[in-house]
Amino acid sequence: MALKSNNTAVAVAIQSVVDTFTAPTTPADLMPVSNLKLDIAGVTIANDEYTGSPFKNADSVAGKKVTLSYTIKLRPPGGVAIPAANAFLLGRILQAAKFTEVRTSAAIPVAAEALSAGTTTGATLGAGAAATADLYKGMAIALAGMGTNYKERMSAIRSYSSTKVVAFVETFGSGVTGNYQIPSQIGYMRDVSSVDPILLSQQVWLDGHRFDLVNCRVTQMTSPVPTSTKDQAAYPEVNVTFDATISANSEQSTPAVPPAGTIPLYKDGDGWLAGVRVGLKSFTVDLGIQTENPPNPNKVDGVDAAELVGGVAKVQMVRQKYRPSTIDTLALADAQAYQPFFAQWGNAPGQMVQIVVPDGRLDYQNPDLGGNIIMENGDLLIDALSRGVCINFPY
Amino acid sequence: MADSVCPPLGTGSVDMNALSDAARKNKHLDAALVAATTRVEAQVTVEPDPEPAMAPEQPSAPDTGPTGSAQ
Repeated sequence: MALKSNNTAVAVAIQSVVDTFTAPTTPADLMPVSNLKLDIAGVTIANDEYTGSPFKNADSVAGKKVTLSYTIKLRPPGGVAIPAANAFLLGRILQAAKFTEVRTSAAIPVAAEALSAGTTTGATLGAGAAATADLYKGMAIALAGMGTNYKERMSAIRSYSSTKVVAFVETFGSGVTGNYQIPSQIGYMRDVSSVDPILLSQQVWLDGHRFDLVNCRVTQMTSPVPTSTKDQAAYPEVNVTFDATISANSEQSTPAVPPAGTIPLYKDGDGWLAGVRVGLKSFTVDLGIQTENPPNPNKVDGVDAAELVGGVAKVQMVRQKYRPSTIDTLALADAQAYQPFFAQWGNAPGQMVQIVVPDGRLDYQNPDLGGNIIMENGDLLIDALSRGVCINFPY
Repeated sequence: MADSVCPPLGTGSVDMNALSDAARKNKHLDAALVAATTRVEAQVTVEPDPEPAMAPEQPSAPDTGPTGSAQ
């Protein structure tokens, strides 16, 4: 009987020690994925020795290079409370891509309190907030006076000062008033410190053939978020690629992967660039991760586990084109000042996603007349700033 | 003395409620961040050079030191 592609499963665990496989537990660590590719590429050396004939001996096989890639739906954790520390499976992947998990299990402050000095783009928080700059940067904030339902009230913090002054990622139609809370949320914030991100151990089942992969290092991550329209709907996703080493392989029936709940689509939400609400067709967050394997003849593969050596992040966008009076992307690219980007979708606590880029520089944007509607595409460039990209799941 | 700026968050899972409380109480945030962070992974340590830096020259001796592994 042939093996079936759909009988595939992946379990992921944070690896506690370099080079030592950490066995995931099932079913808790089973993560629904798609488009899985386990690439086992031979490393060969051409043998140039003379053979006394016109023909050469075949290449020597020196080893193997293992690459695992798959797609994860960008699905919030769900439930009524945020997951335990390091428990959210997508969060483990994001942590391996140099994001810090930030858990806010209780709203800050616990009881909503009033804002002061509200403008259309900012306000000052009250006594329940700490007077520490950047502390709440990139996080979701609920503004009770600025919407009629949960999702309308939800915004995000672009910057936070030691005098408790907040700048929002949105521009409101009137001065922000009423109560605020930084709601319970689990967020993932890009870290640019020199600390190496975590390694993962993963088990991959290909219809009864189990591979144990150790030292899984994220070598590429992109998150495409297409707008779902009346004509075409598509899931927001995370595409990830790992460098890995096969620790073991054996025969074992593929476990059943529990369904992980609904996946909110990007519509009926928010799309903001430079404080202007824009009609995004799609956007992709690209972390531009670069890794390298340090050479080490003491190891089976002749290298240490891959290490992060660099990366340049950006957001690639396709949007409706606007006249300059609405948003002048040419002038914004000329100026090269930092501008916020904000996308939010989903409807309810534990079912919402925010992607926040507090400060990005707009590259020049190209008008696209290929269709009936003029579009514009280009990049938002993200410098090496702490919390330069934040992915939040508010509750 | 309180920190006026939040330090970079680093790796792991940070308890923002604990960090925010520490900031409100004017505690040092570097230490508070360490206390508020849950890590699964072992901290990466710099491995010692397998050969002593200033050891006498041993041109033909094989490197058999048990501490030289980078496992």
